[in-house]
Amino acid sequence: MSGNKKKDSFFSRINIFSSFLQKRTLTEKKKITGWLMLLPVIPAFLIVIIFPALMGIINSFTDADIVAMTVGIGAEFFDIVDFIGFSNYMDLFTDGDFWEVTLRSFALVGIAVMLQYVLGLILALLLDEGLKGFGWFKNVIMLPWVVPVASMVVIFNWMTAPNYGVVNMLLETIGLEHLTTNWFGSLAFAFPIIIIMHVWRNMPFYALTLYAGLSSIPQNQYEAAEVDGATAWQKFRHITLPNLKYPSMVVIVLHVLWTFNNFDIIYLSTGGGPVGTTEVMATEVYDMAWNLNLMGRAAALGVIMMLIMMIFSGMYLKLVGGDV
Amino acid sequence: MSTKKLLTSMLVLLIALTFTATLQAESPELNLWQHEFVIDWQGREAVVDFFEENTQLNVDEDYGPAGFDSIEEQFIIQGRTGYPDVLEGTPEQMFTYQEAGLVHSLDEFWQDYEDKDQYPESLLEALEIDGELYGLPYSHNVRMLLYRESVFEEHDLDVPETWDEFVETAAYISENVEDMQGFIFTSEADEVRVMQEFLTFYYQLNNEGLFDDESDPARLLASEEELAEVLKLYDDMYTEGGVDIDERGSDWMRTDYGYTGGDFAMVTVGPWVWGHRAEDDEASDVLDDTGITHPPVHEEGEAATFMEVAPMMMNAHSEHPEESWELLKEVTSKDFQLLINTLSGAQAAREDAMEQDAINQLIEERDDIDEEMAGDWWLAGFSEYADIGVAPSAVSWDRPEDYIIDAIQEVIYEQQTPTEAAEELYRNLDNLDL
Amino acid sequence: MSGKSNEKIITLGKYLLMVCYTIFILAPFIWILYSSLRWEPNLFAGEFLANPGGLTFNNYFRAIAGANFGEYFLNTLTISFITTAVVTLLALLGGYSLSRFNLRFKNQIIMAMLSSQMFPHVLLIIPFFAVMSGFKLLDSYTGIVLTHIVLGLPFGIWLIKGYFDGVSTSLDDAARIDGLGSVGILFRVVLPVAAPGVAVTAFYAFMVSWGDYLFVSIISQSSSTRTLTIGLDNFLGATQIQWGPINAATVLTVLPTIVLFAFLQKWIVKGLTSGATKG
Repeated sequence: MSGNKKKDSFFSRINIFSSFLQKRTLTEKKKITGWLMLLPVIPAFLIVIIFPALMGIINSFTDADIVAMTVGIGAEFFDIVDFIGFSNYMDLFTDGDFWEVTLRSFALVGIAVMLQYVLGLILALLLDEGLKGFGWFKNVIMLPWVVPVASMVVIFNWMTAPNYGVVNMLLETIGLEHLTTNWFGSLAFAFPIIIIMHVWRNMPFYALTLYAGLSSIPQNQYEAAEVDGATAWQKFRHITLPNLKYPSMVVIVLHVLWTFNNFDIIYLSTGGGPVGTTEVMATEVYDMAWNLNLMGRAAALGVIMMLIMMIFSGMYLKLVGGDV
Repeated sequence: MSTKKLLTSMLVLLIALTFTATLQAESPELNLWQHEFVIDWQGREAVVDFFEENTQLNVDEDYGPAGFDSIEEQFIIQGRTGYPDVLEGTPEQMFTYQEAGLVHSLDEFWQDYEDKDQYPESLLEALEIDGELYGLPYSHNVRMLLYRESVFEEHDLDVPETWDEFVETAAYISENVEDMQGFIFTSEADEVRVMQEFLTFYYQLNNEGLFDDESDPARLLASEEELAEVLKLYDDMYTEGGVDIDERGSDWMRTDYGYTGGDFAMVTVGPWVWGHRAEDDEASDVLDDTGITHPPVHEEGEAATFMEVAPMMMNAHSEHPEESWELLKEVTSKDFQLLINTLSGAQAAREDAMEQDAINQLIEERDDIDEEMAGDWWLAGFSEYADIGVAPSAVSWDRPEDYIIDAIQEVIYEQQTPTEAAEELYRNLDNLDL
Repeated sequence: MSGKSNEKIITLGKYLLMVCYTIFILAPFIWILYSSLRWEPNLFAGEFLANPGGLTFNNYFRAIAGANFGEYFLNTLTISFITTAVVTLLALLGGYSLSRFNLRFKNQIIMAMLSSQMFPHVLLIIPFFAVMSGFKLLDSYTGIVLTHIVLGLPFGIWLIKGYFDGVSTSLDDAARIDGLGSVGILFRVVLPVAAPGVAVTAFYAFMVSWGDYLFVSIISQSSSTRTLTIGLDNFLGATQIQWGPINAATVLTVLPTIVLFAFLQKWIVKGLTSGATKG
């Protein structure tokens, strides 16, 4: 049922009444319609995601290596690999880098998503203002998200390069020559630049989703508040934010998952360096699977990542409101 | 009612989609993955046209993924399906494929190959694993020290012969030549070039290689002291100023494009940077001003450098091994090699494709080859030192690469002294079960 | 309290902020666009304006020739459009179902769909290839579209469900009394009210499909199914990068989406329906 808290008592009363009626009158046949509507989704998921993910979980308990990778799945796979229990997991936990890399993943996700959300929300509010002369901006706002990651990284790389990179050229022009550096190779700047790339890429989608959310807030709620003499902040706090709860939740969960699992931005730009200062769990998984020939251990790390994300999603959804 | 209609129409749509998909799937006879046919470079069209006009085989006109990384990933995933039949790669990839049973030993074909005498023994050895040949040498290169002749002349400098002179000269240039840095190391994480540069200098201390691949598991040949010496060279270069501290973590693009853009007085690279002159006048000037010599040699070492031999391989699961061998021969044939190497400025692996007369004749015959571009002196500069090239041992290089790059970064970012880093690197490499 | 000058300052602040956003988001593009129009050698001149020879479309010609652009563009467009249409449709049905039918395991279903995004995709691709191969879906639009649908659907359904939750069921009931079935209610009554959410979902699905590299690289085996993101690789050589064409190709990859977005964002307009329709 509708998760919105109703301000308008008349409509809420109708609502409660009608939903009560609906519950009573909905026959099993109607519910079948509901299931039918969901039906087309299920086989696709089984094929594309669930089965491969199950294979990944199985993998994490084996010593699968490159040979096993070439076999893919099937009986031969089980001939090649040995089940080694929780060894992969134990190896991970005793590996000196594991906790550091995990923490860095959290830091990346936390900082990037927070920045994206705050900046995205402000941008959504600005878009909603309908400032004169910026109508066109809505049409191009999503550009960063469309640029393929590979070309984004190549271009950022090129723009931040010493000498011919535009960033350093600009710094030189405004007389800050001493600040020019190889940004991706700098201990101090590599991680912040990774975050900036994430923000640049994803923030517009926050803005768009929240803007769509703003657009569907009924005007009469604001009008009612104005009659009561509410300040701008009160309106924002008590009308805007609650109404954005749902799109916020979706967009935050989406990006936490996306950022946590994304490997190519970092992998293509710094490769996890310098001295491991941008290494995160997702790049470790890639490295283990493709470079270090440790498929089993990569899968174990993948499973850990999945568990972390499940716990996060579960807790987060509980926190923001029981009904997802 | 309308629900049913909707679902039915969706089902029909799905079936129709599947049907069109099955119609598309008609498999051609042979598949070749050859990145020079895909990637955009000045000679691509000529090379592809030449191949397609001359091939006697039925080869699919799609030549696979563009990047070496994608080639490796996709071949590991789908090699078992027998697709593609023939592919190119790096020697490091070949060792990995062999371990996974994905590449076909060429010994059975090689015995009767009429052109087998065209290949220098050292190139063949680089592509042998346990005495068996797994790839036909396709092109090769050695890393040389390139330097700017005019800069050295103008400042009355000698081209460095030893590592000490090397560090000193590089630092002198950074200090005294305006807008120019003495040298550059590639030092980005996860970048294969970093390991190759490291080995270039390491081989001078131990030209047996890093690992003994005859023993199983491969035995580490390097001593802790040798590793420390090379790491010390890195340390000295950055602390003395031969390489700017702000160039730490730079990638191969910085090395190559920085040199042809005139930022560095010296680099250690292969012949490929010649390709930059195709589009760029400034790069042409820099390249014309370039001297080629062997990399500076450690006081107690011998001249040596990193050699890379590119293999052309056959899929062990190919359904048509005989035809695949024919295809292998076609892409490594004299005429084809002559054309592709002359256009790309790479060193051929066959002796008959390296002959100057043949190259000159080709330039005369074809008007799409600019004489300027052919640059015979350039390749001659590299060929002159070809015999000091050391090919990497036949082991899976992924983990050693990781450790070596880690050690270099620890040193240049001043997290560890060269001795400490060498100690750890030695331990890591020694513990590897390759 | 709300003096005129005060209000002016606020408006000025808003404009300033907006300009900052514009610069942050667009500056890289403007640089890419400008670079794509320069002759390649000038890209390394280390100067902003040095343009001996003026501006040129040469990079665009090379990008179009070098990446098989026409074919890849058509592939990408077809795949993205089918994906978007199917995802939007299925998300409408699924979102409506989850929002209105009070199904058992509703929350579990949503969690299960979300969990599909929780396992690192790099690890999925090996078994995924085997599945695609087993179903003979390699090198086919169907395989790619199916994958993209699954990638885009979980958030599509979830997002749309949220917007539907915001639409009062009293509308449904009124329509039901008028004799409309569930599908009729969905498309004629609920959909128009939840249009902004649908637009966002459609755009999300489109982007997922347009930008995917990993899965297409595994399924596609010939130029007949290769997409633009893969085509970009053609300019990224192991020893040489075609800087001019990569800039041009990036511009070409991105431009069509502006058109799409200009079209879609018309759905995200304020006050589509009166407030009374909301709960």
